[in-house]
Amino acid sequence: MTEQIKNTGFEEMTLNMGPQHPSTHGVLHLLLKMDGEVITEARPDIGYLHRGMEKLAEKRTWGANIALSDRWDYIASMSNNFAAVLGPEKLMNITVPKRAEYIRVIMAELNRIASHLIFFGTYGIDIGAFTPFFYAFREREMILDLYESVCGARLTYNYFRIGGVSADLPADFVPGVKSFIDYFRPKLKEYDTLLSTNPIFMDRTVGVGNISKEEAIDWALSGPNIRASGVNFDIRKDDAYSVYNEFDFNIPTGKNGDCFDRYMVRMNEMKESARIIEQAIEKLEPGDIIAKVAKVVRPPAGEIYTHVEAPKGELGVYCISDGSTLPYRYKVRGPSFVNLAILQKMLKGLKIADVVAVLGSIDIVLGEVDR
Amino acid sequence: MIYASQSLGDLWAWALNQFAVFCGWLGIPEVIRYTVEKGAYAVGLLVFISLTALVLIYMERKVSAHMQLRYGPMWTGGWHGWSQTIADMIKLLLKEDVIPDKADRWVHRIAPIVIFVPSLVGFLVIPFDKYLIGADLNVGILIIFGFSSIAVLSIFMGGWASNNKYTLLGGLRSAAQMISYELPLVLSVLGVVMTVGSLKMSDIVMAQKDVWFLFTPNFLGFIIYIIAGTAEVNRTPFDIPEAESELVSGYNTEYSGLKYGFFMLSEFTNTFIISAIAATFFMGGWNGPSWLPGIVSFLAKTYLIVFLLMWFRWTFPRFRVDRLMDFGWKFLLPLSFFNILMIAVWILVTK
Amino acid sequence: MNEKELLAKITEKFPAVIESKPAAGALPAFNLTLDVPAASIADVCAWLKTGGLKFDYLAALSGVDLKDKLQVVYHLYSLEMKHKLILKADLDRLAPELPSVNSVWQAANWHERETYDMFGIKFNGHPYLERILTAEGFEGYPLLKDFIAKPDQYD
Repeated sequence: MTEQIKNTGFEEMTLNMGPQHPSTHGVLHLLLKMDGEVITEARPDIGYLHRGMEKLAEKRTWGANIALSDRWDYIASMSNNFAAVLGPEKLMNITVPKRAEYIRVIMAELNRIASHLIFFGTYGIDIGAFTPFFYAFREREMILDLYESVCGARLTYNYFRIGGVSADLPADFVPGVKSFIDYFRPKLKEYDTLLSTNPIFMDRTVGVGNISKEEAIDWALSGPNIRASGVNFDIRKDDAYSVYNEFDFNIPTGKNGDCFDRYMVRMNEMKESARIIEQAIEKLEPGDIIAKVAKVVRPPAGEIYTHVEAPKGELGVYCISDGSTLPYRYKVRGPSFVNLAILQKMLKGLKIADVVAVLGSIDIVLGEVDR
Repeated sequence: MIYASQSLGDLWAWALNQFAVFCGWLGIPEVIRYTVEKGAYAVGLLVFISLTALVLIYMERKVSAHMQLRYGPMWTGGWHGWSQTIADMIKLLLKEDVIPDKADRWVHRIAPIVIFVPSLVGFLVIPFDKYLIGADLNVGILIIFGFSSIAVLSIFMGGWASNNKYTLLGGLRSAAQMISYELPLVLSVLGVVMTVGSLKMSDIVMAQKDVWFLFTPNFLGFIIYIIAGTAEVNRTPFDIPEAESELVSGYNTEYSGLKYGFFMLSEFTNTFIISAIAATFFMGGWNGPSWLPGIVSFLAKTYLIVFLLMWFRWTFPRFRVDRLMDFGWKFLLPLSFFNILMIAVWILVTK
Repeated sequence: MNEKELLAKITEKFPAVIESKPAAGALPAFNLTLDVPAASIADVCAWLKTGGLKFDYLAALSGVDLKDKLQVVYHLYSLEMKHKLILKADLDRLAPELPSVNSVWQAANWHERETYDMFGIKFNGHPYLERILTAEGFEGYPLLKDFIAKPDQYD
């Protein structure tokens, strides 16, 4: 280092951002090499939350893995449940009752709203505005109350079962969802006045952290991140699972792939999710909520890769069954893990203030990155 | 003689008068009389500053809480958690004073003291009421701005001495920011000074007896002053030296206990001073309706500005450091030059 | 383009690539699955991406321990033409290594690091093949079936 100073008169500074830092969204460790405030090299260091989920999964029955899946992306557990049940169901060729399918869709879309609300709140904090956080949590609280009325849990739901869902909706759930949607729609406009149209917010996000279309595909981004770059890729449309092909909804996309586009895609997605929930509630009819499936399932030997559109992106599960009660291999393709990889490329040449703007806009959950 | 006094300032003037008579009767030298007078004022001021800091911290908590759908402190002390800040101060006093291992110990220790000096000196030349001013200097406003430049030094000292990269970045940022925003700050006040023709605080207040400068072309100066003033006291949207989400806590990351308390205290007293100057220069100072004591009118205006600053803080996101510089040098500075030009033309036309 | 045409096109270019057969008693594959010789995986992938089939999206890259051998499974997807493909490369269990596809898809970067971390499979040509999830100084490859978890200091 002293040699470098002698030769050039400058010293490169290495800054350890995290694993304890207010805005690395958990225990992400970023190794930044900096020239003043400008980053010359960035290396994300992950694994602080590694719990060996894939190894644990091999020691648990297919049904018990649903409970484990709650812990991947712990703020969107319903979507994880969804991914965890699709694989064994397809292997065993189970037809899920219609009512259960609609309930699943309602749950997953409510979860998408809840997850994007957390994004909205924490992104505000990353940029320096503290107040939106509380507004976002006010609405998220209502979703959690709805969840609590259905499955008793507020964070790790363990609600889906192979072949259906664990419990039927309580009588006040459907009116509750309806009133929530009616309440939530105007709030989205409130968020726009609070943050989206704020000149300082625009200044911080527009044109920052651009990801081109080609880059986004090359790095296999998914979810709002790839859609913000203008790629219309949504598993709900492209590889429709469950009953998503019955609903009428749009896929919001961005143009430039900058932080602001990623933000706006998520804000618009909440509107679309509200639409899906409304349609699903209309279609909800009395009936079975779970198919006739044994308590401990033994899917036939075989393998399958199933994926769902989780709030963060493509959540894939590659399961191999050897015909026993335990999965032989249970690979989880976490969207946050894949989306985070591009960070090392994006951060080069940005300022330290942009690090939090970019990192926040990718919207990661460390539980899913490290698994 | 005692006359019906409505105002604290009149009372103070009367007390000084009585004291002077008393000293003359006893034959006490002028020097001692002067020292006692100023000493009494200084003690009163110190009490006032401490109370102000407590009130401001409590106010910030309540204002932020109600903006964020919360209640804020509700239990400590009974009524709406009024004693929460007192409890916090006691907690800060009792905390361990940590100095990082490789810190520059003396600089680290001195920095919090240095930052408090400008906050104290600033109070001396603020006219709270007609006769209630520590020293009615003929360079009044210059004293405040001159001393407030010292605050940069202290923040930089604190940032450097802590031997931490985050504090260093915070210190560097604040040095850049406060120096570049000092220019528009001083220039925005210059409009008022030109209109009045004096730097003396009491002259400036007296000149607004009929109409506040806020309602004259000096309005533009007021806007510039509020923006630059917010940057000067490092509050959101210009809080990049602290920038919690980026730099953990900026220059004061490594401070704890009483020393951290000093940094926090100075932030609030500086906020008060900036608001007090705004009230004095643009909103008529202690001028007000005749039935209202001058100091009440003055404090009401000051707290209005303080509330404005708090409103900013809990609403706006944070600027990025380079955009902040752009905004300061490329927009605010030319605007304040334009303001001066405009005021000059206005003076030419009206006089 | 259906799976048969896809298979025909690929085997025409790479005769060594064959359709993989499910194990005895197992379900047939849900998507077109190909066995690729490990040594030529990078060439096959490069062609798949640029050679008209446009497999531009690497959805997942997983290691599998089949007890007698290791396997790397590539789940590919074409965003433009909307077709899927699964590639499998068998590896020797004792010295597992194969060319990296990081130069084909950047997305493989962390996937390959993870697979290396969990299975000890070496990806030749990877720019920074280091452990990614396990702690510093971790020994062994946890997802191998013969991995014995030692109690750590907290147990």
